[in-house]
Amino acid sequence: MLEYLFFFTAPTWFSSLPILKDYIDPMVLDYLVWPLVQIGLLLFVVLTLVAYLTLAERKISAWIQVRIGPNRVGPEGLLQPLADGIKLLLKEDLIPLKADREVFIIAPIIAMVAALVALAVIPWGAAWATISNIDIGLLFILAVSSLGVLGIILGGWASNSKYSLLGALRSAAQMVSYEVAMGLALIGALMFTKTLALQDMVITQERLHIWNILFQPLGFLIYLISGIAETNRAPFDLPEAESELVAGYHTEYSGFRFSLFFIAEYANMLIVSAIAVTVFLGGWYLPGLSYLFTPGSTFFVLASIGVFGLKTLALLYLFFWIRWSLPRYRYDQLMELSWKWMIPAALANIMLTATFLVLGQELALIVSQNNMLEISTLGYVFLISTAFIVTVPLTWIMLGQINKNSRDFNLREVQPLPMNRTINK
Amino acid sequence: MTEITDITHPEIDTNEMILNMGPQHPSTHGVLRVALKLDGEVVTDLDCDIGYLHRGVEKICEHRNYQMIAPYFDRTDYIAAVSNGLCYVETIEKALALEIPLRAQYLRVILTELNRLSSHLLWLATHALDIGAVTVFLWAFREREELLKIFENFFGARLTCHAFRIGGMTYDAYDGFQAEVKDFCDRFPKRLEEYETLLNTNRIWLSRTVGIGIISADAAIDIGLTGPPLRGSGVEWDIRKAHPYECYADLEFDIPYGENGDTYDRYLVRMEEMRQSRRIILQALEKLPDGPIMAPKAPKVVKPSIGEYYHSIESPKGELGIYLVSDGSTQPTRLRIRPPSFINLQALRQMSIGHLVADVVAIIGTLDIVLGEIDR
Amino acid sequence: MKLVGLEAVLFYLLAVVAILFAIFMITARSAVHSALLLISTLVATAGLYLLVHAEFVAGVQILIYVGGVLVLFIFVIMLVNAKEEDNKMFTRQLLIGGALTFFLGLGIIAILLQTQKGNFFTLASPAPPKIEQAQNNPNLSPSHNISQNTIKIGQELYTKTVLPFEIASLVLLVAIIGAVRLARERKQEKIYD
Repeated sequence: MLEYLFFFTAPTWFSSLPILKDYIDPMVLDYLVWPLVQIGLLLFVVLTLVAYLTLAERKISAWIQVRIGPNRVGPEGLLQPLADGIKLLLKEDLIPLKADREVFIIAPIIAMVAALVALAVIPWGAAWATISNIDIGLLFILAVSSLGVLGIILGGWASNSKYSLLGALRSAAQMVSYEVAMGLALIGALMFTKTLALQDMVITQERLHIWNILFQPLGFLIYLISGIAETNRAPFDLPEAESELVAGYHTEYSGFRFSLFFIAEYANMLIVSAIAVTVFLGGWYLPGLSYLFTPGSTFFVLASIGVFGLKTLALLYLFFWIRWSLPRYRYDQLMELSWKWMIPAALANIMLTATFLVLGQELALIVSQNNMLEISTLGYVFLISTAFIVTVPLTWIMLGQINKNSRDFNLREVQPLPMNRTINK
Repeated sequence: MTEITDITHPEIDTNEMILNMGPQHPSTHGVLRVALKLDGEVVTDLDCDIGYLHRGVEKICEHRNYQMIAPYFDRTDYIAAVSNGLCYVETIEKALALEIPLRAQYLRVILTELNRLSSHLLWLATHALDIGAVTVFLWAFREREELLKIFENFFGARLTCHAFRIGGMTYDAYDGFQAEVKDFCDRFPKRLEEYETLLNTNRIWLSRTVGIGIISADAAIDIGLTGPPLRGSGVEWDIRKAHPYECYADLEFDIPYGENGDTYDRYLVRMEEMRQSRRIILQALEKLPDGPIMAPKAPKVVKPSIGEYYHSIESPKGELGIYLVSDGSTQPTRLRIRPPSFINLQALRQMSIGHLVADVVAIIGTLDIVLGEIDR
Repeated sequence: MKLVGLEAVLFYLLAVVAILFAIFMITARSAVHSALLLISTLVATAGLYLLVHAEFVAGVQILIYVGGVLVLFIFVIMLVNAKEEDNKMFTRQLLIGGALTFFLGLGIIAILLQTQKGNFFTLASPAPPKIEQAQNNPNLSPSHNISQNTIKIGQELYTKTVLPFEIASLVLLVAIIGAVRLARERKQEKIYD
């Protein structure tokens, strides 16, 4: 059983550590000690990162809004997350009298666990940097992240407050809708990688020497938008729209339970960015990296982790950037965006991508062999140009025509206001 | 009140839900309570409950002499304290038939228009915040801060500014006032452009404001809307033009007006009004004459002759009027304020029905209400 | 394959959890609690699928049932705001139901005994393929070596069972159109058309 989960055995530098080598059976070392070390390290790094993401968000939003941001706790406010954490931990544990006690307690735990479990299969780097590379990696992440919705819905329901309930209802509808678009957006990329295992996706992109975003610009766009919606970030932060629903589903939560929801939100952001990087942006693969270091060496792996981290952080910055520049969608507009634009666009993307793949094979530009694609130079040109020149504009025009009569996106032209030139006394 | 109790205690109805927005709600702009009857998220009925900030200003006025009343007006519409003060002193001056010196008039216009800018900036900030554009909120506050600094230097207060006296001004402009205002006016258009790049053609902003809270010109006149909500519906009505007070007749400016009467048009109207205000300020600064700032005939003891007086000005939020009944003594017999927010708020029900909860928030924002003025 | 070691422990753990939560689900008074317990049962079942190396089925089980169907269940429960029911255990219905379940369970056990030829604690599943060490060659696509489960399902689905698959999707399409038709009001149609 364990052999299935942890494919990459411990690296030699770890298993040759004197203490471990002498006292522990190599089998146990590979399948028990090493994964536990990995998990512990990952949890530590991710939770610290999440804490500092909150600081980054506050700092970045401050820069955008011509403010200074937190700068009191520690040098340049670097200890702010620590102070926040302590504050939340020391707060009174409050459960509303009329709340459903059990569900109220269990809801933030569900949200948090779902967010953290998904971290297990993400390929953080080459070779041993991955904890597990299961056959259904992408499906696993989609499945687990769909569990996270439950935490939000149950939390909203259990609070026994109208604002929470409305927030929960919104988030349920929103996340279920955008999950569909998200899943469909990934399928286009799957046609090129031909596997669901995340590490294999990166390896395929490395083998083809390309990032999938070049084959799948539309898929990436849809995934990114759905990803933002899935993590309840602005402009899709309706479940917690403070100007309408106070704080949405976590209105009644405070202290540590609130912080669990908070950590889950940021961890989800991290996961969405990490998947976008893995599937569309080549994961840890960077052209030229294998020339700098010997593939498989410890330095190579460390460099690959760095590359992955940088790409993920860049996407996270995009998340922040979008959040602080855009107003919020209205609930029905959000649904419309999902069902009338994102999902049809994703379907069109699948159709067109498949058509061009088959066409490419007919023209002998692409060869599919042994579940792997071989693409000639002309094939690259063909696939990339069709993706950018045909797929994107065609889908855009088609959906524009279909949704012409749609109520909310049928906007009139902006014209300067008329003004009176005569003084009427 | 009866209607409100009807709404909050309905007969059991599974399809409809009653949601109380406020009085402690982030986007009711103070302590407004709105009882919403919802079908899903669609508003089927709505009722406003006001009075949480009632301080009895009108009644207090009956027991103060005329000079003592003036500061109370800074606390009705605290966002536009200067405009309110102007309205009060002008009403009394009208009752006394006082002519005030030209320099005081120009200073008053400059300060009132600066106040209009700060009020509109606060409106822009909160309106954008309600719709979710947090950054615009803080950008607008940056400009408002500069204005408040000018106010602080002039009035000695940032919020409850008070320098107008019956018959003129308490104090003249401080040294460097003109330069500071001019400096601000020079920088302001660029800042306005910044907001507009964030909002004007932003698809989300458009889909949140275009076609939301439509009110026709006829309906707007029937309800008695004034100010930007009225002009947004396409009615060219501005008291500064229609019944010019102070020195507005000598200044050149346009009245922007909308076409569709929706939230987006009201937004455009206010944005353009800020440009026009800047234009007025620059003209007034140029024309600012030297001379006394108090009318020489201004009485020490104010005793308007027996009669009824009504005077109104164009405050940032609409027509601000004061109705005064004088029995010839040092205290008014009755002083009634016509607050623009109070009357504009009446349109909320008509504008909101059929829209979603999120739109109600946008509509409250577009009406630009101040609860201090509504409850008095 | 005899269940041994960790796999046996996991199997019994998951099975007991699934059964216990199923019982709790039926006896829970609040509808939301029932849904929550049903989720636990489904997750435990997904774990059982993993034990027989059906990763794809396990993933789909969670994605569709827990992430989709159950979320909609809870959505509906919250919308109609179902009240807690009176705790009347042991009604006549429960008695009949209990009896039926008992006999059904006996039948299943009998069939199991028959088909498994008395070898009760075995699961009919192929032995796990050997892992080929990819340690020396990081460029090798490793998970293909472990399990071809997903690929196999895809191939089966689109070759042998393509007709039932298409029929199922057609039925779903009809259901979607029907649902939209039912949910749309006249007012909305006027706005959109």
